Amino acid sequence: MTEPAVGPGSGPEPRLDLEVDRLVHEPARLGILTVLSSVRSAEFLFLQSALGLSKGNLSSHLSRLEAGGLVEITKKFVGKKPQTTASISEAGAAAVERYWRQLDQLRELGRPVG
Amino acid sequence: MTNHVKEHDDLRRTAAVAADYTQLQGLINVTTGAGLILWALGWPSWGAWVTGIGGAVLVAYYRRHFGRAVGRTTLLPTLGAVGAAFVCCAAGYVIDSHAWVPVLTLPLLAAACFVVGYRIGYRHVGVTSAHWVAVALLVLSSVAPLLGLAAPGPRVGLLALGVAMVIVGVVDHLRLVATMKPVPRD
Repeated sequence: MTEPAVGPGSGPEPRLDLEVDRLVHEPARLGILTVLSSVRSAEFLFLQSALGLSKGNLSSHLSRLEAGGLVEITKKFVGKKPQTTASISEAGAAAVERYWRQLDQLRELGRPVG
Repeated sequence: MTNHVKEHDDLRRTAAVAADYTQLQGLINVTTGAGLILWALGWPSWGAWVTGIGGAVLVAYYRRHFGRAVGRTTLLPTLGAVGAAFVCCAAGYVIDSHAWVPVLTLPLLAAACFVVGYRIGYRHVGVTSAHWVAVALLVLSSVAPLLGLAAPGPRVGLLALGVAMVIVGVVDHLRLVATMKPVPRD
């Protein structure tokens, strides 16, 4: 899959990077990372509304992403209410950018020739 | 494959809406527009109340329903752009009050501010045809005295600006609501 493809007479083409990161590949986690990559930070409720995820579902995906070093979570209390804010880490931004690049490459490969 | 492509396109659209979330909280613009309309109709104090209280209530509404997201753009350029737009419109209001020129400058300057604002505020989601209708309305109202459709003065300009803000605000709010999803219970 990652072998260099050789074009006819044009020398070796750039190596295709199609080995997907399983932590990013899961749809809900991809959604979280993509939304977080477009903002500086987002509250838990914002991510829930943007992605249509339940509390438990979002919480478990955020924990996995945090454990993988892809997002940073800040928890604080506003009055008596807990408030969770998430932001993407540098590694997370690089991972999601790579994933979308891979996806675009795959789409290109799937496009009919001619 | 087609489903995946659609899901990914939806996700990119959601990310674009998240990036321009502040601008898409359109009901705040609607109350400002409604306040301007009331001012133009001769009830400036009611206009101020509607703008002030309505704005505060709607900021809380968006916070409560969709939560908060901090965009990547720093606050300073945004505040600078809003301040510049306010100064432009205030200058237009003064010029129109004295009828120094045969056209209405307030809606004309406001139209220019809208176009600049579109470039800053909707960098990710883009603008719809309704946004351009709002600009066209402002430009047309600026020549209303030349066509004999309005007497010189700031009222028509304020009215047109208010209506334009209501149009843009309603469209933005609908775009936001269409993208946000109902939150499922656990």
